[in-house]
Amino acid sequence: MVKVAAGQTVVHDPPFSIRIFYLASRPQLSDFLASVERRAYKQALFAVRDEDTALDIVQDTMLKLSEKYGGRPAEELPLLFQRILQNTIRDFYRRQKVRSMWTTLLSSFSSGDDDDSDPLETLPTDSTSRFGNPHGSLEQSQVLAIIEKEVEKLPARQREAFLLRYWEDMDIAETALAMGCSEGSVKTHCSRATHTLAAVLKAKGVEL
Amino acid sequence: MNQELHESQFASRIRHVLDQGTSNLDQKAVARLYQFRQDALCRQAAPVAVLSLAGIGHLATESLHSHYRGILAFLALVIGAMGVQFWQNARQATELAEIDSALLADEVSPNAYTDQGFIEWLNHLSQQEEGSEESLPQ
Repeated sequence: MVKVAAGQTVVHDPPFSIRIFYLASRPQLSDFLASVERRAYKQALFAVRDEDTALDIVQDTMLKLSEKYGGRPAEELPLLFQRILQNTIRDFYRRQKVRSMWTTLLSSFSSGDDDDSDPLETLPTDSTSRFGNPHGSLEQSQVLAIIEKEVEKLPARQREAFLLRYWEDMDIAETALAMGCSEGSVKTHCSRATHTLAAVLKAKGVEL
Repeated sequence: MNQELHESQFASRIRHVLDQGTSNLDQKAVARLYQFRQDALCRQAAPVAVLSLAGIGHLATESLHSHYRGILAFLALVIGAMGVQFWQNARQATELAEIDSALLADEVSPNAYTDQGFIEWLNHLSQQEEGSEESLPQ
């Protein structure tokens, strides 16, 4: 491999062909991060539902990408970034699971009152009346709020597959690689997510 | 196929709406994302050294045509055989040198071993010793 210019590398392939890799320069990495950071933040926010935590996840992802893979060719960055982002979100889930286990354990010792209330009642309810007549036209911001809420409610793997495949514009193989699952699973997750969203939006009278 | 097309069309409309959501993030989040990006760029891994080293291996393995690889394997075999031969010769030379040094260090002169009478006397002496050992009472 011979370095011929800043950020450009030439590889001689047998017998006479030449391949060129463009290494990610600082401006390229900057442009890439600028192009994905907002969607990454939204993805993390859909997953963890907390703005500060979502920002922390994006920060970790950017640092890991830059420190460990900052010298990789520019075309590899999207997949690497998404893989790191999904792993960081999963790490958050794991930590949250351990924390909630300890909280439950401690509260079972400390709590003396006999609470018979159903935990499902404490979950935030989804008020369709907020959006008025389901058959009427909705404001753009309201449509956005509804869709974001419904994307947030999707099961984690379905949401992950749907966003990678259709929002990040990855093909099925890339999505499978980023998620660490088979291509068949990606198709199933995407199909289920799409049908769920379509059914919910139809029930709410949202027309796109 | 038709279902996939419907899914794809529906998903692209969802994507359009979600894109609108990213354009009106609150300024605090946008500022923090900008700061994160700057921090990450400061820690960007240097690309040249790692990939240049990786390229050497790549060049060595991929730039050789297949029939050259056969010749290279044969040459490696010949060099290996020559190496084994050289090692064996060196070992034999070392053994001979050890015998020579033992002879030179002995009390008897090396010239004595070329004298036929001395050899016969040694044989006779060893036969006598064997005979005296056999005649000893058990």
